[in-house]
This record gives sequence, structure tokens and C-alpha cells, in this order.
Amino acid sequence: MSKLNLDRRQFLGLSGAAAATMGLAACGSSSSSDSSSSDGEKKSSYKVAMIMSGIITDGGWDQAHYESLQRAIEKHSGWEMLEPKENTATADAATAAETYVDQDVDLIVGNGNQFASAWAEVIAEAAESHPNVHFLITNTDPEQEMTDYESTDNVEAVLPDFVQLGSLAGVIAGLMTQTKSIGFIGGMKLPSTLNKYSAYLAAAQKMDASIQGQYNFEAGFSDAAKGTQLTEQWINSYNVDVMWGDASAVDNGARQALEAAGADTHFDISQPIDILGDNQPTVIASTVTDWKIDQAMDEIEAGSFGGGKAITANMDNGGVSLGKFSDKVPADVQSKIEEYAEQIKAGTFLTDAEVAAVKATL
Amino acid sequence: MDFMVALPTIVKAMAMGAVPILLAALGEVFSERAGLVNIGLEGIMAVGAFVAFAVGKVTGNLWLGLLAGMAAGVAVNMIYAFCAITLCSDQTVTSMAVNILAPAIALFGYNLFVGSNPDNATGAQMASIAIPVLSDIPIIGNGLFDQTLLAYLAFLLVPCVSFFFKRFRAGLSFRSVGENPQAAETLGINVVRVKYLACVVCGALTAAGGAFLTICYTPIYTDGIVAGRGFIALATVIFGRWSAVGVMLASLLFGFFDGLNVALQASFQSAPVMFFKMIPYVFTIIALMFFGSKHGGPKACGKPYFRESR
Repeated sequence: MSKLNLDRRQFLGLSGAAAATMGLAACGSSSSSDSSSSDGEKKSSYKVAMIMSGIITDGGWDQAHYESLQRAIEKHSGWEMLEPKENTATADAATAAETYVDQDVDLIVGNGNQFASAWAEVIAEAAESHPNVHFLITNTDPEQEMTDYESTDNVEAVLPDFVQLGSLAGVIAGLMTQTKSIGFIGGMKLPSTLNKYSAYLAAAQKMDASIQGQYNFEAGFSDAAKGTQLTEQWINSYNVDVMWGDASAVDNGARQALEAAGADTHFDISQPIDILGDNQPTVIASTVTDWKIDQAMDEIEAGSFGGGKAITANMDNGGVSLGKFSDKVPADVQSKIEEYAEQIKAGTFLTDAEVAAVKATL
Repeated sequence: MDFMVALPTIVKAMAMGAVPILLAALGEVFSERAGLVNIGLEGIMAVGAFVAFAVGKVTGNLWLGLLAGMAAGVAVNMIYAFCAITLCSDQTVTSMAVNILAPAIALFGYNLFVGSNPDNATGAQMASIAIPVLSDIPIIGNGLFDQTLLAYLAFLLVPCVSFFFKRFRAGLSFRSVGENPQAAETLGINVVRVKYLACVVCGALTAAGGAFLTICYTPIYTDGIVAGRGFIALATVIFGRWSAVGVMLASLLFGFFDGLNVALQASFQSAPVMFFKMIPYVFTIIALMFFGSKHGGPKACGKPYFRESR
């Protein structure tokens, strides 16, 4: 057996050559993958990856996205879900997306509007180098948040119908409150948050014009204790007895305050997932959001995805729905809620002017 | 805002909000009294919060959860102890690394714990105990005297710690190690052992502060649940002049301003919320401006101890 005796210069030279060969091979395989998938033939297998701001078990925002993705995968047998990338800081969002672009992942989902600004360059570059990679950004209004995009050929956004969501919660709150005082906690003062609350209060006041709303739009998403403190303050000062939240973990804190005040008289409407159960004694119903990842997959398979369109998640396509009711919601109230839900779905329940009137007071 | 209506809730928020800060700050008093600056309280609290939550949920025994959380806090703080005491590394840099590492460990554990069973997302919560008569005092009674047993123990710890540092030989050993470890060594005090012991106590108490958030305040764990309380605890140690009573008063004052901030947020909804949110932190900065002098702290605090050096 012969021994190779290389000096340092020879070793570095060989290493460099090996690295260059591997790099060329990688480029070769990448370009062949591109050509094979862009030749017009219908693909039989696809990959989807999700880049998330939080964790899939947060009981709120991120979990709702993960569950939407799981439902979409169940409906699409040809799709493979890569492990979601959790807790992604905005500063790392572009790098995270690039790694999936390099893997030729067919659909990369970003769960929040922060990805719209972070991904502008990645999406523009991918449009040229990897035309089969598609991007879906949730909770984003393309007309406002993707205006600086060089290319929208390979990107779409998802926007839930916030008025429908708020209206559903408002009807439940309006019919269940005994004190005529309801509350809302938002994590961040986003346009979506304002729209949700405006519809929530407008809908509740449609049930009873004397209902008053308390709100906080800047509670953050992680400090549960803050939710407890805020809700306690509202219960003691304004006799709030029904809450709806949009602040993930902070909503858990609010539920603790409601429970301490009496779970038979103080109620919570959860969102964006249905968490009704024995370990949530104050939750009486949920407004559920599905992020329509299944629709994006359908469009990719059909070749119609892209153009910076916004998919609206609403009651028609299952993007917005009511969760289960607790026993604390009387049967006649449940029936009324379902009647109003039909009106909300048909767009005949609240006018834009009614929502705008509340929004103008915020 | 009707201040008298809001006041009972502010008092309750003050007492509840003070406990995690107080526990972590008492831990830091032990650490700094032994000459170790540990800014990793935030991370240790996160680990304590998660482990107490998870063990409390699995066993159904919140006290077991608390003990497990404290043990986990000690384990994490041993990383700092080994680097800062044995390897004589920079204490600030090492504890900052703990601040980054520890919440990641907690989050990893949480993902395993809840990811395998979503029912684990909500744990159990310690019941509060109302002290007869005292809890009926108007305005302050409910807020101060209807607390969990852990909260009462935290406040009872204050005179114990104060007595320990003033009256016990071991307490005096801690103080001498923090003031002049070389002189302490000549008196027969095992400086390294005292410093390690300080890290054990600091890890345990700080983790107990984190555990309070998940087994007494809310029965959940989330990434970021500590929400800066570890850093506030550091400030209260300085504001409290490294004494247990001072730390308690500083914690209560911070808790009061935090409660006031929430009450103002709840009452003046159209006002800029961020302005109210600043109140506790503005208070912290002002307090540090007046009380942040280095002269009050242990002289050898933050300096690595080399046994052979003079």
C-alpha cells in the first residue's frame, strides 16, 4: 500500500481543486433540476417549507399556521413538508429563505408581514435563478407591503377577512356579556388588529348598543403576566366579562384573570385556533383562521400561482370559521350566533361604515 | 381613571410583580456579595420557569416542580460558575452567554414537551391563600395578603437573608470574599468554595423567580415569558444597595410602577401605550442614576480571583 506524502502547498492545492469540483457539481445538479422542472412537464412531487417567527406549540399564531400547513398536506398527497424553521428573527429571515431556495423547495411560507420586507431581495433573485420556487407570505397586504418588490412573479400573500373574524367574535361577545362590557388585547398595533377590533365592537354593539369596549393594542405576544394584569384591571374598573384576544401568550394571561374572577361569569373567545377543552374553563368559543396554504398548493400545481395576488381567507373558502361552543353558551344563543354567522358570510351583517365609525374612535 | 378603583389592582400587581424580581435579586445579592457579577439571571429564570412548569405538570406536584426548576437553575449556573471561578473568565461575558444559551435550552425542552403532547401546553397553578383579617383590609388587603405560599415565602426570605449576612459567620465569610478575597483566604476562608456556594444559591433563587411566573402567575410557559425581569432584578440589587431589605423595597417599587403602567394603559386607551410602558424602565434608569454608584458594592465584585495573586 503506497503512502501519499503531500507537502502543505500540494495539500492546499488538492483541497482547492476538490472544493471547486464539488461546487461545479452542485451547480450542475442545481441547473439540471431547474431545467427538468421548468420544461413544462407536470411534477409529481413537491416540497413545502415554513419559516416562522415563533414556535409551533405557542397555542396561537404560529400553531395556527402549522395546523393550516398540516391540513394542506393532508389534502395534497404529492407534497412533502420540510421541518418548519421556528423562532426565526427578522434579521435571519432572508438567510433562512435562501437555504430553502437553494434546495429548490416549491413553496416557502413566511408566517407574518415582517417577511414581506425581509424577503424582497431573495424573491427577486429567486425569480431569475429558481423560477420554480414560490413564496407565500401571510397576513400581508401586497398593495401596501410589497410595493418595493422588483418581481412578484413567484409570490402571493394571504389576508384573512378581518371584518368577518371580528364580527363573529363580536356577535358571541355581544350575546354573552351580562355586564355590557367587553375587552380586547392585541399584541401589536397593526392595521389588521385595528380592523379586527373595530368589527368586534361594531358587531357587539349591533347586539346591544349599550355595550362598551376596552382595548389594548400593544401588549406584545409573550408576557402572559401582562395579560393577567390588564384583564384584572378591566374587570375591576369596567366590569369586563367577555374577552377576545389577538396576542398569543398574553391571551393565556387574560384567561387566568377571567378564571380568577369566576369562570361561570367571565368568558374568553379564543383565536386563531380552537382551544376549547377542560383545561380552558373560560373559553366559550373560538374564531378560527386557516391560512389557505392548500389553495396556494393548488395554484402551484395548476401553474397559476404568482403575480403578487392576495388570497383572502374567508368564511366561503374555510379560511375563517367558528370553533366549537362550550356548554356555557345556551342552545338558543348558539342558534342565534349561527344565524348571524350566515349573515356575516353573506356580507349583510355589518356595513363598512359601521366598522369605520368604530375605527375612527381608536 | 378613578385611582381609588384602580388602586387595589395596582397593589396586587405590585405584590405579584415584585416576587419574581425579588427572588432573582436575592440570588444576585448572594452572587455579588461573593464577588461574582452574574448578568445571566434572565436566562436562569427562563430555565427555572420551564422546568418547574413541565415537572409540575407531569407530577401534578407544583412544589416538586419548583424544586426541579431550582435544581435546573443551579445546573445552568454551574456553567457560569466553572467559567468565572475555575477558569477566571470575564464574568460579564460568561453570564451574557448564559443569557443566550439558557432560554434556548428551555425552548428546546418546551418544544419536546408540548410538541409530543399538546395537552401539556397548560400546566397547573398554585392556589392563593388569603390571610384571615389581613386580607379584608380595604384597598391593600386583597393585593398583599391573598397570595400564593411561594410569594409569602419569598417575602419571608428577606429577613432571613438579611440576618444571614449580618449575623452568621458564613454570611460574614461571603461578604469578606466579595470585599477582599485574598484577605479572606488568609483568614482560612475557602474563597473558591464560597464562590461556588454563592452560585448554587443564586441559581436556585433565580430559577425560583422564574418558576413563580409559570406555577403561580400563569400556568403556561412561552418563549420570552421572563420579559426582562432578570435585568430588572440586576438593577434592583444596585438600587437596593446589595441588602435584602433594600432589594425588597426596590422590587416592590418596580412592581408598583409596573402595576401603575398597566392601570394607565387600561384606563387611557387612546393615549400612546408605549409612553406608559416606559414608566418602570424610566424609573429604573433614574434609580440607577442616583443609586448606581460603584462605591456601595462589594469591592472585589466582577474581578476574577487568582489564588496566587496579591
